[in-house]
Amino acid sequence: MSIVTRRSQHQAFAAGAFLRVVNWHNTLESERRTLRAELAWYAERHDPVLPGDLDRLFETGQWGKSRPGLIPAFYDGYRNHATVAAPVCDELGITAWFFPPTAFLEVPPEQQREYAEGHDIGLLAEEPGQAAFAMTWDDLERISRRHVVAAHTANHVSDREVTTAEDAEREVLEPVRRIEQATGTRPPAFAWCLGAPFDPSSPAGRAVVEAGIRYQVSNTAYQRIAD
Amino acid sequence: MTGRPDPAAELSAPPAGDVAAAAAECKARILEREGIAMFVALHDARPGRELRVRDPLAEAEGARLAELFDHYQRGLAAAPVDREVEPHGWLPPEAAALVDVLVVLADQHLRARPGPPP
Repeated sequence: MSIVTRRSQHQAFAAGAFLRVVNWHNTLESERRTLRAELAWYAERHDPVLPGDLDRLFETGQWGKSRPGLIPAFYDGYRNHATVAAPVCDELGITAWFFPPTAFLEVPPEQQREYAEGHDIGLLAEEPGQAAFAMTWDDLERISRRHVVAAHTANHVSDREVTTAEDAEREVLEPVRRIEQATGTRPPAFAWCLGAPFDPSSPAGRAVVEAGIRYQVSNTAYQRIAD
Repeated sequence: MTGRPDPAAELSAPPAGDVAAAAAECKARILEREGIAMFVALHDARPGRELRVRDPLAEAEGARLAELFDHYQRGLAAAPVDREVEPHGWLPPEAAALVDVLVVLADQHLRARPGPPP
C-alpha cells in the first residue's frame, strides 16, 4: 500500500505519527545571518531529533521530550555546509542531519561546477567565482563529530536509476561504506534524489536494506525500514 | 510564564483563509536558498510492525495537524489553476498534490518567521 496518499498522510498525522523537518540545500555565506535567525527561531521552540530519538519512538511510542522535535536537514554536500551551515548550528547548539552525495566530494574542484550542473545539484548566481562547491571528506568527518551524517547516493540519483547489482553497489552500498569509514558511524538514514519512498520490492529498496540503513527519508515521510 | 515561545503556537494559529493565495506565496519564494519546512509522516515499514504513538504531546498535536491538513487539502483542491507549488513534475499527480498540501501547511504553521537579522 502506498504511503504517498492524502488518506495515508491524514491517518499518520491524526495518530500523532509525524515529524517536523526543515530541508535546506545551498547555504550561502551571504545568507548566514538569515540562516542563523531561522535556526535560532526553530531552536527556541523545538528540540533536535537524533536517530536514537526516532529509535525510541518506534520502540516505545514515546518521544520522551517536553517540546516538539525537529530535524534541520542539509542536502547535497555543498562546501558551504561546512563553512556556514554546520558552524551556525554549532554556535546555536543544534544537531542537524547532513545528506551528501558522496561522489560530489571526490570531484576535483575545477570540475565541480560542471558535475553539479549535470547532477541536479543547484548552484546559485552568486557563486561563479568560488574555487570549490563541494565539501571535502575531511569536512564531512568534522561535521560528523557533532551532527548526523546520512546517505544520499553517490551521484545524486533517483531510485529509478538503480536497477542492477552494479547500480546498487555504486549508488547505495559504496556510499554507505565510505561514510561509515570517514565518520566511524553507519548512516542511520538514506534519501534518494527526488525523495522516493521505500519500495521493498525494488532493487533500489533492497539495496538500502542490505546497506544496513534504518530509516528511509522521502518527500512525505520518514520510514523505519530495519532494526 | 517562562517567557519562552510556545512551541505549539504555530499549530494553534487559525488556518489561512485564502489557501490559493498562501500557495502562490510559497511558489514565489526561492526554495533553493530557503529552508523548506515540512510536516512528514512516520511509518514503520518493517514486516509485521506498526508505529503506535503513545505520546500526549504528539497525540494532541496530531489531531490539530490532521484538521489543518484537511483544510489545506480542500483549499488547494478548490484552487482554480496552477496548483503546483513545488517544481516536482517528476511525481505522479496525487503525490505532487500531496507535497503541495504539505508545503503550504508547513509554510503557514511551521516555517520560521524571525524578525529581520540585526
